[in-house]
Amino acid sequence: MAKVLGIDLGTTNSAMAVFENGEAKIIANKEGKNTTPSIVAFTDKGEILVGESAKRQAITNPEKTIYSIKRIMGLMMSEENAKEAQSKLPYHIVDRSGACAIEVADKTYTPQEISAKVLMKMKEDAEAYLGETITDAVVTVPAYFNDAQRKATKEAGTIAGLNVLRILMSQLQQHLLMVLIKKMLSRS
Amino acid sequence: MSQENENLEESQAEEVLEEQEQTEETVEVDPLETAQAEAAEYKDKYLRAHADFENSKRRLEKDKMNAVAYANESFAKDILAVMDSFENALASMENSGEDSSEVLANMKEGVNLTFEQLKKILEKNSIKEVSCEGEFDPEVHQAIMQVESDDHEVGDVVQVMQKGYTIKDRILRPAMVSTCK
Repeated sequence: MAKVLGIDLGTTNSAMAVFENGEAKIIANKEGKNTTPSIVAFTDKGEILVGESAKRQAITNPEKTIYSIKRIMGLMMSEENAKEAQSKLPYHIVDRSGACAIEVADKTYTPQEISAKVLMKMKEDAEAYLGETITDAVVTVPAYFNDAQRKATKEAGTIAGLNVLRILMSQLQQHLLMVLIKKMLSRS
Repeated sequence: MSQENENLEESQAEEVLEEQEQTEETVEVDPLETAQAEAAEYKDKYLRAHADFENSKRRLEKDKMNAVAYANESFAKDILAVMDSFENALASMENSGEDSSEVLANMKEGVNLTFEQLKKILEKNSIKEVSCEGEFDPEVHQAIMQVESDDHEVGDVVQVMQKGYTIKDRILRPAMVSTCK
């Protein structure tokens, strides 16, 4: 029976859990930590760093270290929040047919694509821990996220190779996430 | 021959008997009852297996808590040797003479020996110092500032503010460094 990965995709940090023997179990990442910084960095050498290592080099690489991407997830450039983020974040937020995107070393990425890199690391680390392939996931979003933002979060999961079964509001996550996972497990 | 015949007859007779028993069984036994008996047996087996599972889960949890609580036992034991060294050093200082330069020289030697001792203990416990030579590596270095330097290539580590350490294949503490911009 394939496991469903529960991911709390946070603005600053992300965490993941699976339902095991009737209990939710937080999975530590490859580095042995329960949380992974939601940071993606593009190095001069063309490497892509995700998580702790991206955070450690942030100061040396401010324009190509993408953090707090959730702030512009699913936003249009015309929105107030997008303008505020653009003025505060050190990397380049650009207009891609009306929607927010970021520009790194002459390439544009959607917030979905950046978040997907975080999700992909979470997926890989969980697979290494569980010793099995993961395809299904439940991802949390803040309760204030509108439909476009939720849809974008789901797209991020799809890019990461995850079949996102549900998008959950994070206020309810502690309890509901696990109840949902339980339900899905018993169904599959 | 005759014995063989007898054997044959006997086995045939047995077969007939068995057949009769079988027919009797099928007549008497109600399929519902068989099913119920089977269900009861399976339920019993399930309950036992489930109880076993719950028990081993609880035991595993307890083992895990113990393992976590006493995981540092062997390391702690190794560290006690360093504690002893410091106590001996302090005691010898109390007992030493008036000549302060001699005391200082002895103390220096003692501190050096204790330092080496501690280094060995860390090494034994798979705790290794992070190398800070050359290029900045975000896997083991934490950049805290960027500085101008003529003696270094861009992206190289210039100064180490605090050494970093790894434990086995994991980073225990990244080295705090400044890099060349």
